Amino acid sequence: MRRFLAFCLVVMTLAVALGQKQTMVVYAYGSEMITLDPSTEFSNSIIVLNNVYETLTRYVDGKLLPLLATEWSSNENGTVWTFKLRKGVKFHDGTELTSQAVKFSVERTIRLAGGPAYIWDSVAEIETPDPYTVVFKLKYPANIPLVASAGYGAFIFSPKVAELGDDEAIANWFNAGNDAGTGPYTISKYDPKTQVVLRKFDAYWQGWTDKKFDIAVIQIVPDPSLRMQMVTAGKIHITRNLIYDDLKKLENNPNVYIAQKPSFQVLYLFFNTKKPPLSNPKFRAAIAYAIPYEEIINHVLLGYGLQPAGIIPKGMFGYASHLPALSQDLDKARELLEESGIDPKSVKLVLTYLQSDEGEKKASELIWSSLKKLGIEVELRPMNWEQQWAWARSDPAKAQDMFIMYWWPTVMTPYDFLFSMFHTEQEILFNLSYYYNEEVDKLMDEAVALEGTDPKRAEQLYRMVETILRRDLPAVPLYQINDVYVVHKSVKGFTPNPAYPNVVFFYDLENAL
Amino acid sequence: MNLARYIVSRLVWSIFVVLGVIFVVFIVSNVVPSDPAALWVGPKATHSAIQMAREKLKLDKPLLVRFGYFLRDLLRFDFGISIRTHNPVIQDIKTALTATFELLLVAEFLAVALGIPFGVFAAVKRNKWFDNLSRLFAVVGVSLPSFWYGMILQLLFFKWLGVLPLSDRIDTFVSLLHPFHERTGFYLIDTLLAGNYTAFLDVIKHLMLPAITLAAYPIGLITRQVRSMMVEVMQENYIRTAFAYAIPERKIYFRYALKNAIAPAMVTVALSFAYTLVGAFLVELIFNWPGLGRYAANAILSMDYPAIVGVTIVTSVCYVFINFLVDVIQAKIDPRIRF
Amino acid sequence: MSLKLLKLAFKNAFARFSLLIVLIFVAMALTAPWIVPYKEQALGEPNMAERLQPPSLRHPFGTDHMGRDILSRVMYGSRTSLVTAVLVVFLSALIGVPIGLISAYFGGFVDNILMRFTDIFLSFPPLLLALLIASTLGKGLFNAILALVVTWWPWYARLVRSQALSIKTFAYVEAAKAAGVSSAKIMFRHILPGCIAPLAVQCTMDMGSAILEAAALSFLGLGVQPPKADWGLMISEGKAYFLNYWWVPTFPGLFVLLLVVSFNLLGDVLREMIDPRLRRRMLV
Repeated sequence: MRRFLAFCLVVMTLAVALGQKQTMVVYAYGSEMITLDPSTEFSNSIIVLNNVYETLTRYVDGKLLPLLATEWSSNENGTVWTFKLRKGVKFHDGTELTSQAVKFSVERTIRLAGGPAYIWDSVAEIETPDPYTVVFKLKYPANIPLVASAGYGAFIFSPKVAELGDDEAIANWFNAGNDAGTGPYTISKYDPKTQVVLRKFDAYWQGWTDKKFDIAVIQIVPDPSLRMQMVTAGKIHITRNLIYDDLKKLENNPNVYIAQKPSFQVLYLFFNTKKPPLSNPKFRAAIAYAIPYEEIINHVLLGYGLQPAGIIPKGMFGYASHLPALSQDLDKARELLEESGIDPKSVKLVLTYLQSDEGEKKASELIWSSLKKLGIEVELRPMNWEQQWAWARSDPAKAQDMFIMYWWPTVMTPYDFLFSMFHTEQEILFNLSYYYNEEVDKLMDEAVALEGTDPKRAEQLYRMVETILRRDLPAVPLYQINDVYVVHKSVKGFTPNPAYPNVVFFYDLENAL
Repeated sequence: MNLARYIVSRLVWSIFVVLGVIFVVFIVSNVVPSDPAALWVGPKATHSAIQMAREKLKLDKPLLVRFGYFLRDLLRFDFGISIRTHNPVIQDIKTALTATFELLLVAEFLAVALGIPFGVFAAVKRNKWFDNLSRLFAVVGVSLPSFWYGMILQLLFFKWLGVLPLSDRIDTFVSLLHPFHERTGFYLIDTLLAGNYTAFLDVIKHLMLPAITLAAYPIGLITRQVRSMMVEVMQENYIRTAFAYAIPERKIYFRYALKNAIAPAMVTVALSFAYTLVGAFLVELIFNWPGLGRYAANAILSMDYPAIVGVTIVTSVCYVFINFLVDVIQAKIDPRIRF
Repeated sequence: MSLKLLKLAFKNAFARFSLLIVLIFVAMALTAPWIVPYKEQALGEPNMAERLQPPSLRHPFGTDHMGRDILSRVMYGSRTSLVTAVLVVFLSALIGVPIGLISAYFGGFVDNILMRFTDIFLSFPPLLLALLIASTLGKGLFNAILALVVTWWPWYARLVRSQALSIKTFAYVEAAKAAGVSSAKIMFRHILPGCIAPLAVQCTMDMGSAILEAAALSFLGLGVQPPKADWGLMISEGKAYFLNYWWVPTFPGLFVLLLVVSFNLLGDVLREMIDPRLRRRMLV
């Protein structure tokens, strides 16, 4: 009965809304939503959450812009950060944004210890001296304004949700499709497997023009060919993750335009450094020089991406601009193979990658072919993520030899990449080359502490880490993809923001008709 | 043994079989080297999140203990929570089941509506061109790889002719602008009940390609069966007598001959329904149909064991039930079988 | 008598056609390594410069998403398909036939246990069980074949059992029993031959079904792994491209269809030959 009434409400609302000729923009996305809790969400739903909630700051093109916070400052060694909040910002439930809300949100995120909670690890205490000032007291120096701009786990929501009951009750309320944010849109209909409908929040603090969209729909369309058909026909207005060959065809299509920017998402090939033959550094180097990097960029990515010189992606500070990108050199590879003393005919390497990713599939087959030229046999094993990862996290001596994986950052810092994938771990998580080097650990830990206060020194240290990683080659970067969106000509104002993967900020879009 | 006792004994046996199935599936899906905790948490996980998931999913307890919990929940019709979707499996299955059944019923209807007349006329015009053509089509029908056939139909009707949609049950915009209440889960019924003719037409358009794809196999089976039964029946003396008495042909075929051929044909229809249940699996993948097949495929490919077990139980129960019905029908027709 | 039958059977155009097709496929599978136009590509070697080209004189079936000649790969695919079908049918029969014989011959308790056991397997929707087993065992052609064999042997057991049950009652079997011939000999020398005919029909038709199910498993990613050529795998790889590059999945599927139709037609003809009622009519 309740569902029927709720449904009637939606129908009436839509009827009224449509009666007034409301404008609608549709974003077709390929994967289902699963959960919707702003404190713990670490997966697809951020494309919803980033339109319904806001963060203190926003990362745009390498700079931090004020959003819910208007200004911020720190003490000398970066252990105390003070934020001034914007006045007059309303939550969707009508209450006003205060420092209490910020404290409540961050503390709940930390307490629930979900996926992204670790970004707040440095926080010891949060103080609220007055309703528009928040003070973060840290255990060690960290760049809190950067942390506060993250696309995961940094959302500010209304403390009124505490009235719903205990933690579980609040979480269930969120996951049922309700929101308590300050963002330009509210969730009007939540059907995680097919469609999420967002309606504009009239009292949004940035205000509205009649060119902005009243309704935003996120439509789940798993098939990339179908998404392409829909956007060229104008049935949907924005989409991404199309097959590169299809994208090339669309470049000449008058109905759509392509908006792309280098993202921070990089595909890596990890070597199992704890298992022969890849435990042999010369053998690893031989493989590293056999990989057809250029062919992959040109024929797999079709130019919609680039090859980074090191682990840190291009465009992020600390990028290894001092190193030349790895390139295929079969002669050098053969030399190194001989120096390694390993007979290629005696080895068979197992390479695992994601079954559902076209880019990984093609790159893997190209790698297979190149290594065959060296006389090395590779067995390709496309798997799903869970099985692949479970295998890699089991005993390194029995795990796969090579593992292909994407990485993208939660917080826009090189530390996110280096710590996750190359720091010594007690329990295997994402350091899937099992590379344990104390010197590298020390350098990166020092660098991240200095990021907020001495960025130049931090950059130097990161570059030193890259040099060591190039020498030891526990893993190689294969490619850094561009964020490529296809937009219908009826919508303008869209620029991709790689700091928020897959997120379309609907508020920034304008109706071109 | 009379019919009633036969039915009861088959029923009891069926239940026993389903239990065996459940046990086998549970063991199988738990033995695989995979990490349900990682599936639960999602792609970017942390140690603490995985640990919490492990506790929540009771993964640290031994296998038999988990089977015990599982059986206890089963008696309450609780299949557990899907590790992939975080929804109760029974809820996922309920929504998926109606989608699959709608598709199945439309496909079976097509198969019977086309298969029976084809079979009859093929038998009547025996060895003429119609017979040979329909025999060829029937064989092709049962030989088609459904996942390929669906793609070909999509190419033809969506890409090249542009008259039918590519996939899904209904168009985004139609469902947004002409919404209807999902009372039964069968969109054909729900749209009619709501008087929503735009949506009704759209639903039919979306049903056509998947139904035609799914119907290929049963049409083939039914056509062949009806034809061969009709051929036999038509050799019988009483049919020849009917011809001699100059009773109109149509009447002979459909009133006298078909009536006797229909019983074994019905058995075939029931069996084809069972097979189509499985065929729906692949067709749903191609057409992105939100049914049990797609749910099962996703569950198996991500090793989501509560969902796998739930789906297997539901499908096996349907399958066993259909076979049970077939057995009973056959027993009714042929008393020898009961012994 | 059988010669007359065979002659009659092959007057049938369907029979001639299907046998021809099967023989062509077998020949193609056997000689593929020597007659394919692009052998390296058939084995998986990419050729990115010529990706996704439509059918032409150089590439009659076009090229796939890695630039490989589809004709060569389809021809190579026939090897895996035929080998899989033969192995699945043969192994399933190897397991199922003895079980059916034993069950029918000894009857009683043994029969009950064995039949209940096969019933559990038969109660699974077939593809689902194969999928489950293949996922458990891991990917690869060998495991896929194993999974299929596990789901198929019960059908042979059932078939042989019902045939054997009626043969068991024949006079010559009773005589052999009375004469003290060993059970094994009776089963394999006296009963089995009577089952061969329907078994042969079933095996022929099952070749077709085995190819279909193996293709379905490969399509789902179990079975043959890239970069090897396999019909099901090629169809699944082509699915992402088929709207704009129709030839990528079309030709592999066409070959599946052709081969399976041929096996089914052959099986049909065989069945008509064996069925005494129909046979009577053919001779009249």
